[in-house]
Amino acid sequence: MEKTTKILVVDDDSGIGEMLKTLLEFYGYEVLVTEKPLMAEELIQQENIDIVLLDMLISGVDGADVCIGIRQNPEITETPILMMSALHDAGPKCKDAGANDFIAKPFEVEDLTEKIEKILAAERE
Amino acid sequence: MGQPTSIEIKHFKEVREENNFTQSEFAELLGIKNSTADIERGRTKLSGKVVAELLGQFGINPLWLFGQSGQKYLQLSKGDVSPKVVTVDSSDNENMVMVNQKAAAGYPHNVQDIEWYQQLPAFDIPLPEFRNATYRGFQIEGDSMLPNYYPNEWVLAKAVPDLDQANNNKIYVVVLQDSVLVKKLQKLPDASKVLLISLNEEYLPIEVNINEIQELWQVNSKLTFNLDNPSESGLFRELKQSMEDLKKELRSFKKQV
Repeated sequence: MEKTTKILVVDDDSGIGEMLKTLLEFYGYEVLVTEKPLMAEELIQQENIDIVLLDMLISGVDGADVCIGIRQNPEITETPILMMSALHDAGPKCKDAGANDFIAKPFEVEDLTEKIEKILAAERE
Repeated sequence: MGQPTSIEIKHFKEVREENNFTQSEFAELLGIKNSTADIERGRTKLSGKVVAELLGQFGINPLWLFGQSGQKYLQLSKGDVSPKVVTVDSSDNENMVMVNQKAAAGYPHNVQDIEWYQQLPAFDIPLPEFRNATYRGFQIEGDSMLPNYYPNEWVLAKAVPDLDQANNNKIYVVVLQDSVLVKKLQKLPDASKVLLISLNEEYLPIEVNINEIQELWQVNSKLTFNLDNPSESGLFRELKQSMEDLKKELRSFKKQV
């Protein structure tokens, strides 16, 4: 990583959000967490987020709608998004919503960081 | 990412119990006030700080803690067990710091503190065996390494850069998170763990996670005292024991006859 990659984790379970923050910070990333999916767009813009880690199932909101919202916002439309879900067949839905990639839970940390780095590498090209 | 369940609490408790800590000891270690009882009863959520401490001190994979992964440990140091501080004399030549029993108690906590090493005696042995490598002396405490190493003797040990370079069944000074041990090291099929064996068979082997190892020093010589005292070799002790057993059997046999 040439500069610290800034990740926004969007998950309504604060415990899981904090856990992912701890884990990803350990691997050298800078991490912000929000439990409010509606705050995601504002934070991406304000905080110069490099990649969004977005949960598919957020109480009250469909993660795919949050993804579509980001893609429709011209200011942040290019922001890479990695969606995660416990539903193993959620991949096509995530891609349709405009996500760069999808990771099925449970996953290992190497799989997660590999996907993050792969998306970021593709963005740089 | 999933609904909050008690899986993280179950795993939290599992880590505490596996390491034989009481609730208050574990709380102190993790920087939690008083006790971990509130966490274990599900009254308090696991904070990011606690998750980070479990990762930093025990190598616990946060994903496993929250039931998102089957991989319990993350390799933190990637096997780096090299000395955290290398000491030099006034001419910038490496010297050998001697860590006595008292200093050994504080060693794990001061392992990166350059000033702490300056209070310890240090010297240089002008012999080829001690050139071009980092050596440190450690004083033996207790009788767990009898008959080869007696309490108060000193072992001189060479720094090992990473665990891959450690040899099976050799004697090492193993610096853990809270103690310094002199033991025979045995690698295990599960590469995330090693077995530390005492030469004195009265002591049981200890299984440690490699993430707990801060430094590793291979013992290659020792300073011994009381040379006048007769010493017993392991074989001699075994023979003596066998004789005692035979005598006992003979006595009971005679009684029966």
